[in-house]
Amino acid sequence: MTYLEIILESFKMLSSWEMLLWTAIGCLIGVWIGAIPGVSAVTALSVLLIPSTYLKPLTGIAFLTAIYCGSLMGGSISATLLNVPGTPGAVATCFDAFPMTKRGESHKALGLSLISSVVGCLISWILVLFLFRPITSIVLKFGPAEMLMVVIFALTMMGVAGVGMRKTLIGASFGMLLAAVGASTYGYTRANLNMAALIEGINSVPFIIGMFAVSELFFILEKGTIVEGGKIEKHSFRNTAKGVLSGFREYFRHILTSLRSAVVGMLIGLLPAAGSSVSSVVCYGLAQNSSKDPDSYGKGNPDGIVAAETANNAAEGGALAVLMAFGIPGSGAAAILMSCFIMLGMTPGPSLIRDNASFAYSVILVNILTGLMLLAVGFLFVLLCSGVVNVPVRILVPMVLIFTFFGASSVRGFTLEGVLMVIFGIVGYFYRKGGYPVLSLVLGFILGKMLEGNLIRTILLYSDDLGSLFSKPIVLILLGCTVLMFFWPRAKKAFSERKERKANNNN
Amino acid sequence: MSERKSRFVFLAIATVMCLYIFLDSQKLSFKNSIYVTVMFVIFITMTVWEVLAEMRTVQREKKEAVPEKEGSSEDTKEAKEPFYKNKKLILVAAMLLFVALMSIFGFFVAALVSYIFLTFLLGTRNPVQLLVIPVITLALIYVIFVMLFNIRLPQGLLF
Repeated sequence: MTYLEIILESFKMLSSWEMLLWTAIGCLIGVWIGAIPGVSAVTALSVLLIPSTYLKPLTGIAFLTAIYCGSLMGGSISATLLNVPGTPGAVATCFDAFPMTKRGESHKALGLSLISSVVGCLISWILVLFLFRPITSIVLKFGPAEMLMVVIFALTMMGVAGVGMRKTLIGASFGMLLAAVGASTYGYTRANLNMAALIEGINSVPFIIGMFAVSELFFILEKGTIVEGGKIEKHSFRNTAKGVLSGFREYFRHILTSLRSAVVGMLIGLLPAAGSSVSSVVCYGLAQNSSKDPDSYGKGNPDGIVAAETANNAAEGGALAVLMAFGIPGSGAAAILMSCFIMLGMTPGPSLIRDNASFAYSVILVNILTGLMLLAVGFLFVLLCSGVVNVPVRILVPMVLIFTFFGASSVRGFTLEGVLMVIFGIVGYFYRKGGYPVLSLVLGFILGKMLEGNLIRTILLYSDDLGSLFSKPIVLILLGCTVLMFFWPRAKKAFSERKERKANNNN
Repeated sequence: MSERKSRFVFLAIATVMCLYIFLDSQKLSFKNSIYVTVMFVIFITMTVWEVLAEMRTVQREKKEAVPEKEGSSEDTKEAKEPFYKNKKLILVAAMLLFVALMSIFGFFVAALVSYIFLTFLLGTRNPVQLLVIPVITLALIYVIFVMLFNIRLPQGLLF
């Protein structure tokens, strides 16, 4: 079968109203689940895994992937309206979307998030459709040394926060030390307060909810309102739709950022354990680094929302492509999708591509369709949810508190997660109020575990011949990118200062 | 609370937490503790540098300072307010109540009691907002997430 014949055959498999209906339902469930902090797509996928096997194979997989895709977009809704990232991938969205809400531009920010998510999803799946085999083969070339370089490259992004090296390093090292709680790479426990529940370390959900949502409650109570200066947007469907559409128009001014984030996000998504949270933070840093006005990031710059949201949805395409090509699940959600493939008799891996190529390609096509559906479903959901910012603070704060505790406690059903969330909420309030950069703390925490593990594995593998590390092309490319990323903002600043000095001298 | 005070409070809490992680990891072998040690050295060096820089700024500001009018600063305003009316302290109390009740009575009772506690102290007197809204919300959470999605929440004596 030629490539064209496979694609045509895949298109035939898509033409069923039943599949369209279940994809739309999946999108709706996903957006709704994603908007609730702490409740991840993994929960919804694990509950709906068995029911999905009663559907036709492609319809079942389309339903589950639509939930996954929708949840990534849904996470941005609570991030935009309440500074509560619904999913870890929406952390970077908070940086600029919530300041826009505070400025009274929540509808526009929601529109930007929605269109960026849709474009991220579409571009990554279109890339997968045309370059399925070459891009997935990259993954097999990634060992511990390459992963270590990816982590180091990602860590250079924190240098763009613009608050000085001292504050950035305090945040990053604090985050990395918190990530070190629990079992070390060799399996020995440390700093777990002799509690069995902490052997796995501090879960990212209570950490993120505490740092963002709970600390934000203190700020809301301090100011008495979410929206500053009384610029509250009137909540009506017409007004919201107008605002969301203005976000769509604004998106086109940031299309280059979106395209770059989609490609980089998809490539990061290919790597096991990296996923949407790493891709969104890295692409956010890249956007800030390449911007002419990096200081406006974190203060409501639409470019930051576009970069983060495009990247976190684009990562999904990469992760699922690797799953289908090699049977390697890069995340919890991907592992459940893998079970679904197996239960439906389509074991992911090289055999799937060899024996059922048209099925694999129809999964890719159905995800492109899901991206388009997400636009409609997300739009409806945004219309319904956008009024949250108008709820009086005396009701909103207690209600958000219930949901934050629900999100944190639902991770494992322990009270401990609630306690951790409160601690990080209080620490987060002082951290943010003290003017420390949230980006470096989050990067340190997310990448800390990956850094330690890959560093030790690299040392163990190459301790006899460290020079051989530099004969690896991917390591060298990533090293070059890291050096470039580290010096680029400084060089740019020096150039602009020189230019200014010259202009002043001429005047 | 001023930015500077917040910085000092954060650095104090973070130093205690990091010091514990560092000291506890020292019981392990060199290869198990080296990563934490390096991170701790970076953290503590930057923290000491930050504190010294802040103290230098405080001293400089004191020298240049013009006496502030009484009651003009944010801190003085907070100090004048009785502690039971400080909304941030009320929130902390509500969270502590939530945690304490959750470990004894479970999530749902803790959520209901702390919601009523917080909403009441933030100024709500309307019985619908005080009671009906949280009961409906918690019932929906129970039906959708506990019964349908089988999510495990902390359980206690009552729920």
